[in-house]
Amino acid sequence: MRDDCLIVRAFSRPEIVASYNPCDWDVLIRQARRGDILARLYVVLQQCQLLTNVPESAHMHLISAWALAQKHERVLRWEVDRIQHALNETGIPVVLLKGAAYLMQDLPAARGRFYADIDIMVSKESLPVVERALLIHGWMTVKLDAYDQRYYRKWMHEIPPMRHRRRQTVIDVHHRILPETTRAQPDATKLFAASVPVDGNESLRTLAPVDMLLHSATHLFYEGELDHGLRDLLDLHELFVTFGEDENFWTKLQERAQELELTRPLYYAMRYTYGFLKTPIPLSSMRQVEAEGPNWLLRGVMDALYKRALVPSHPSCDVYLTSLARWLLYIRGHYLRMPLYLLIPHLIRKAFVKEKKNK
Amino acid sequence: MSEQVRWRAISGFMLHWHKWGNEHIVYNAGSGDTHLFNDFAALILSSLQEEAAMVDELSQLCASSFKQDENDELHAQINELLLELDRLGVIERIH
Amino acid sequence: MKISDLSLVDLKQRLGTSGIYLRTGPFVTRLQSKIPSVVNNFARLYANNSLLENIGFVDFHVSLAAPHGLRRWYRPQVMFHFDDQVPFKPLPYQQAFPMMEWGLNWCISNHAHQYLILHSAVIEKNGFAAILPAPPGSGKSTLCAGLVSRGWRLLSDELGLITLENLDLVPLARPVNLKNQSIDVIKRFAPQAIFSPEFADTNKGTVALMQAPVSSVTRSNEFVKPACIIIPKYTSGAATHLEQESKGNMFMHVADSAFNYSLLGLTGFKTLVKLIDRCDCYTFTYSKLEEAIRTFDELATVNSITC
Repeated sequence: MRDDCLIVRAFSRPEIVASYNPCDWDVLIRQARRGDILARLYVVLQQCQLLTNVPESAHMHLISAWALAQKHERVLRWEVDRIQHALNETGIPVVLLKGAAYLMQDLPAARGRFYADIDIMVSKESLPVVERALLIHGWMTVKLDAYDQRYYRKWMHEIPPMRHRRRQTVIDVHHRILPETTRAQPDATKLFAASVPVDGNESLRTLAPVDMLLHSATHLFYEGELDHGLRDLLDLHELFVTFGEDENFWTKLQERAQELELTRPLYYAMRYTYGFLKTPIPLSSMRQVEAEGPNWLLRGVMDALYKRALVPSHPSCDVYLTSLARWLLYIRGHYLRMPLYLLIPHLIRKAFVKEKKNK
Repeated sequence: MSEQVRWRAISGFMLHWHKWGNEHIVYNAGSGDTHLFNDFAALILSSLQEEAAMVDELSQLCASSFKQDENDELHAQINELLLELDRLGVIERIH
Repeated sequence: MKISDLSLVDLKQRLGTSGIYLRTGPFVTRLQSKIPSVVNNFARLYANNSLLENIGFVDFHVSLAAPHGLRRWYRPQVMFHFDDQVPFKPLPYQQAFPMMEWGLNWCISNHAHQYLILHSAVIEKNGFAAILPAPPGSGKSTLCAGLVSRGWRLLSDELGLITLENLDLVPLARPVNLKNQSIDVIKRFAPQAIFSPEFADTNKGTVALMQAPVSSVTRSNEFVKPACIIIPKYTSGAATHLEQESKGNMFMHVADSAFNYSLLGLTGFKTLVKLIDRCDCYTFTYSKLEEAIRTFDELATVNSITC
């Protein structure tokens, strides 16, 4: 899928960069930058010992992006430290999600990442205590209008994001991994029960490997805005490769997906990581998820949409109907997270607010 | 402020030092912040890097290093400095 | 071949279509714009820069264009594009050329972390290079413009680029940004220099750009190591006075004003330690430009003897 796209090729078959000319490098750097994966490109090229094939001028951009990624990593580690510092006295266990989890567990998926907000999950009952502890230690609820406050508290699964007064870093506190209004409802208690400590620290935890992978898959394939689609696909690739070394992983993954009713996102995760990046998914696992997959018609439609949307939104990656594909997936993402009677007014309002901001 | 609190330099992250005369530059690899300290603050901080201490112990150290009297004023100065270093994120209380 | 070798018609045609490829120091920029003031001022201020052809890899793809829709006609605006993105809010259409300069500075300070990037002027004479780190309003640009009009080489008036390993100062040799009263001061001081028109009511007041001296542009691939860091402070009526500054204070001053000191973490710390170690550190008060330049000339003479 998308063998025409330089950045996809560079990740699925890194050795191909040896054949790239300066014009190719120019486009490749811009695609990678747009997809927020320029530092990850550096990591891949370094790991494959291909940096000698990079022209000096392009190399500088990779180095610069890597410097920025290292800064992001520093900031995240400190932030996790400060969050622990703030929540220590409450004794409430915290589950780190997404990028923060990859970093604290030293997973390859963490290398070259740019981090934005930190996402943590706590039990629903402990939300008020956690919110209060964060407020005491310098976080403030991000200013939102009444509509957005309702959107967060009632319809999504989060208290509104909180920004630290001095550091300006943002924390999202979840109690479930999907909004309350979503059809699929993976049981948060199960996720908690299976979570693993970081470095033996019982109050700082991450999801179990199968859950981490399913969460990443659900996040990507329930998501409407795919500006970081390729980045998220790369995460999944790294997680499959890292966890897949344990041969029991694949069976456990299937079972867990069934248990949490997340077989569809798992299907897409396997299909598209293999399709784009040649991820080594065992054939038996692929066959099993296909049985739970969409019918041939829907599959064809989803292939057409994701083929267009899972690449950086750089003009050089666009093909015929890319904009339409992105728009349809945007609507789908919201539809999966909200019932229709909430969705339409929400989309209208968002469009109107966007218009106002543009003036 | 209770004087029974034990302090130590921040753990889990390194502090990097450089000095020119009596000016000490410290880079905290955890917070990413850089600080300029005088001899007094540098002595306290470097001592807390070696081992944890309470105000009394730090007071003795300062008194002998700077040939000063160990008195209430010195204690108060050290307390104030410790609170500031805590705020800056270079030291922490031990529980 | 130089930019000045192109006719204005040709330049306009190229800028309006596939673009002009410009080298400034280590960076290659592809510039595109149909805006007449961009074309005309570019022709004037970048006349001595080389015209690059057949460039495969470009560091920064930038363009300046009027927005679509209402603001193309009503209180017209201009937008700065970096690749397919628009990193800043639009500005009034008349400010297109200074916007290009600020935009190019933004490109470097956000995408060139292979260097330590200081917020400073950098100038050099006879191998003696000085870094002038100073906040806006300190007279840094005036002093810089004055010095380069009296034989000093311009490396930069705004972005001090330093290589991390070797502490080499990397030139850009782009036009000097002057503000408000300093425009007239420098026009009187250097009547032979080439200036852009004045752009009123910008965020920085009235601004004008002075062309970089041709020799600075020609030598823009020559690195030099810094000898001195001098914080300039223009104070009306003050006597010219150079005073030693403590290294600790200078470290903090430079770190605070640098664009990417924090970003570079431990590497930034170590590089800045080496820089401060290496350089003599001063603060410099002045009110008379001629006297200020004499002081700098003396410093350059003394230091080139000892080098």
